[in-house]
Amino acid sequence: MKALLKLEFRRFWNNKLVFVSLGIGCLLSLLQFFMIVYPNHGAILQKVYPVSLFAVWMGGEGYSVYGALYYMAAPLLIALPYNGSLKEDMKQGYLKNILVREQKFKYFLSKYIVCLCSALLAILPLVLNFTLAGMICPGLIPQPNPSLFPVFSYGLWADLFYVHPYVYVLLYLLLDFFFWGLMSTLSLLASFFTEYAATAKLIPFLLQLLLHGAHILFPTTAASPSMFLRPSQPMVVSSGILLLEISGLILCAVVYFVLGMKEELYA
Amino acid sequence: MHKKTVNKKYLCFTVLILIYCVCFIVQTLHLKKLYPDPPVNLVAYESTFSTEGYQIALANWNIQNYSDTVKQWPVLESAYQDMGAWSNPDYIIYTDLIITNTSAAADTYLDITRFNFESGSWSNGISLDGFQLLNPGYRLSNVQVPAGEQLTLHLTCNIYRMHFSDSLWKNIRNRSFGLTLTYYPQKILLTGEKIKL
Repeated sequence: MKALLKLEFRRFWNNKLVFVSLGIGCLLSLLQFFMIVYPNHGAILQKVYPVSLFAVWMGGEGYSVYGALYYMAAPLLIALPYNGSLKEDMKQGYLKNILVREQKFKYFLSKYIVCLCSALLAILPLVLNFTLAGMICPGLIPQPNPSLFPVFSYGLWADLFYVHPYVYVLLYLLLDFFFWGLMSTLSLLASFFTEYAATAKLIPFLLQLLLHGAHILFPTTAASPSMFLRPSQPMVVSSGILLLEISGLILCAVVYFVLGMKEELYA
Repeated sequence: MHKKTVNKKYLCFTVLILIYCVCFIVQTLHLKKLYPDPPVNLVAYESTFSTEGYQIALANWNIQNYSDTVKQWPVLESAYQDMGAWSNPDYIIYTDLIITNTSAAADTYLDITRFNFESGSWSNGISLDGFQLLNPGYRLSNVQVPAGEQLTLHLTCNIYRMHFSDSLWKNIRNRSFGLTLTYYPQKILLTGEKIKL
């Protein structure tokens, strides 16, 4: 299992598309930094409070196009390098070869783990943006004033944001990582039903668009991950909707493992 | 014996990351020195906060539901008419703000529009309609206190259910409320009391 995981991670990192994906993410992150964060250098907001890191970094502000674009495109950036690999393995006969030497479950599990971890591709540009913003704007403890900070008392972990903002950001990055990771694994399930690897790669992004459409039709649900995964919480998701979406993604993972055990789908 | 070699590419990358981390820590500490977190000056209920030229204190703090509030101060009822969905706040904070001008010679002018009621992550400004009805002749943006005199202003603030998450609303009675006078460079918070029903 360890060797298989190592091999899959190597396949992931040795893919040039990893750098394309990271490059696009970092570009958006740097654009947001230079257009939104940097002009606030040393500014005192409304003569009452210095501009804080927690209100201007890409996850912390909810008004710029860069942040909106980044959170919308994240599932696509994550899926770009690796998510079509299962379909390619099926098509090229690599899967048959590897199953001669390894157990099916171990192979599919290692694919799942690497796919889940590929969400790191969307987290790294956020970390870059946060640290760059931290070198320009002071990490002042937020104050509950609507004109200063965007997190309201009806939001997720709102009280935590005003007491331990670094913990809040860390928790949000973890939530983003796991949610995007789970979304990304949908490509694996899709690989059983699609003809092309590119189609499998697009599935997480299509789900994102679908949920965003649902959010536009029914705004009160706030079902769009591109909204509720932003730490600034432009729309606050209800814990019921969040649990429903996570449960759906976990159910898809179960279906993926069940189908993976049925050899006739890829033999 | 086989000697394990370190890839130069990875070594350079690690060194770059380390340099970046050091820069981040140094710059963050530098900024923290320039803009320190505001120390919180908690002023106990009915205690007085003194600053240059004047003193401020809270008195008669009360948080109660809408119907009890308008029963007590019928004049407030008109403030909540024609406001649609916002017509009925779940609770209303009522308090007296006592401002004493300690200067014998000069009048004090205060802009209290920046004063905010707060509790944890929740905050709301002074109700403008309530202020005008309870303090006719005064303006929030320019309160004048003549030299050596004391002025009592009646303030209200609305608390709506929709401003709180379910979990926070369940514990609303255990939350502490207060009135923030300034946020920076020092945070001055006059503490009030919890909701009592």
